Amino acid sequence: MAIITVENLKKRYGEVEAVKGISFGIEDGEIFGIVGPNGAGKTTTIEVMEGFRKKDEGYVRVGEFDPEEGKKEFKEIMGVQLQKTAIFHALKVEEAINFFSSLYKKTTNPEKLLEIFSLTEKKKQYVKSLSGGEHQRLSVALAFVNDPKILFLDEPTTGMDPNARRDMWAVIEDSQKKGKTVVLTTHYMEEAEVLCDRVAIIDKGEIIALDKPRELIRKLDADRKIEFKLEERIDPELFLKSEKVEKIEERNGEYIILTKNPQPVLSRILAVCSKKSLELKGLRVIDATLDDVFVHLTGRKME
Amino acid sequence: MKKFAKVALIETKLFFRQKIAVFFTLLFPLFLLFLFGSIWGKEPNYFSYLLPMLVSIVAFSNALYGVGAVLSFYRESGILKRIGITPLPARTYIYGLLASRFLIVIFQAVFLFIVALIFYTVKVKGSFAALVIVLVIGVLSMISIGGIVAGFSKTYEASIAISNVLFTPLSFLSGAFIPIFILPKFLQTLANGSPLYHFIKVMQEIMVQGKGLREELVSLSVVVGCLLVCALISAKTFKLKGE
Repeated sequence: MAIITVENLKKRYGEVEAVKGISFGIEDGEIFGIVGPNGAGKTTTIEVMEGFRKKDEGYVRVGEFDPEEGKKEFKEIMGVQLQKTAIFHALKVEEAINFFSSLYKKTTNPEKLLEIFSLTEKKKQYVKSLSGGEHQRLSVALAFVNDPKILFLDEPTTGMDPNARRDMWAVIEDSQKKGKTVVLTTHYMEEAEVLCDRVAIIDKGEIIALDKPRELIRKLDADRKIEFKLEERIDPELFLKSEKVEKIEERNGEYIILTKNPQPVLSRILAVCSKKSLELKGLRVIDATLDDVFVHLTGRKME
Repeated sequence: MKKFAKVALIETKLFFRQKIAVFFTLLFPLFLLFLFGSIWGKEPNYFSYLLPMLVSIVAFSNALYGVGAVLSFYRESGILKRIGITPLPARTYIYGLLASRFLIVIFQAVFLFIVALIFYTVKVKGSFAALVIVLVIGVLSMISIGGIVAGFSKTYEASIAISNVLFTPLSFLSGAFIPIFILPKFLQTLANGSPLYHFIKVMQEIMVQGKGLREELVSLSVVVGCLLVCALISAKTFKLKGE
């Protein structure tokens, strides 16, 4: 059942048409990603769903609410992390959590929230003394204070190191298990791929693709990359006997093979290596990514 | 109402964590009180002149820098935007902030009065109730000027600039630093339009000459007029969302 419906949403800022009539539905309990380069219209779209921005045209429903009306009941059930969240500098971390909690009817245990977001040790620190990553974790934590039914996270892992990013993914996945619906924007394709049930790829205010990340990649029908190393150099032509190979490169004993169908190629590599008693090192098969999907659809790389 | 009180509380806490604000609102006036007290404290009625000046300057500077600039900062940095996402209306937050600043200034007025009472002598010839009424209306009137600053400035920097532009001439013409009667005629005329000047004048005349509110209708209408006009304009011009 769709919990969020967006139909023909349009928004312009002066001369710039930021969102050009997009439509999608988000299922209850889904992690839905809106991905795309900077300036694609991601933030505008999510802010219209939060009720923070007024749409120019279209129909938007979140639960039973029209976000634009800004009803209290609506604000009670949603949790929002803004892309650039300012929090009172002179408050301590726990004071900020407690203050924002106190604005809601339903709340969650602040101590536990601090723990989930690895902020327990920082709770007595002033917000202004936090590092970029810590500040970001706090601003996401503030989206959870009311144990919301629907979470809107606008680039939740920006400015985080890879470890913190993975921790954040775990928190978001866990919230899905607790029955929350999550809408997030990101320009990290890897994040969308790992985390989202479905993604809408948005570019220049239009949705250019919408599906499960794996489906998008599958539909791309892209070449897969086989990489390996050999101690001795052998003629790459040996591997080309398999007809499925699109392209082969060799540089200082490192081989890269592009193919649509890796299985026969792998067999061939193994056969050649056994026959010549060569030690195969660092063999891996790399799938296409959402980045490749974006390049395929737009003809340019994500910025 | 409970949330309103919570906002006022947290804003008061935030206020006391700003060292510069605490210094100028609370410590500096106290320093001036003792400085001037040690020089002219023996003069009869001296504190009936000094206290209204100190209190009005505290109220005015707090309105400009503690209300106008702070609101501009909150809007520009996105704090009001963040508040607006919660079930608490951003307007309620703003009123909570105003309440906190109002109470801080009233507290400081009472505090200065008590200190002066303990170390020197303070005479209130007129009605004490009238004095309190004027104090309340005057402080509200000053705060409404802060609202104008927030309403007209697009950025925090602009709000500081506007505050500086307002603070210097208005406090100069208030009679707080130099007596109005030694100024040239046209400046005296200008002073007559200043709410700060009338706020001080009414309090002084109640304390020194024992005048009643009825005799101060002109000055009171300037102060109340400023309050109404500024409150109305700032409600109209202040946008919760920045550009």
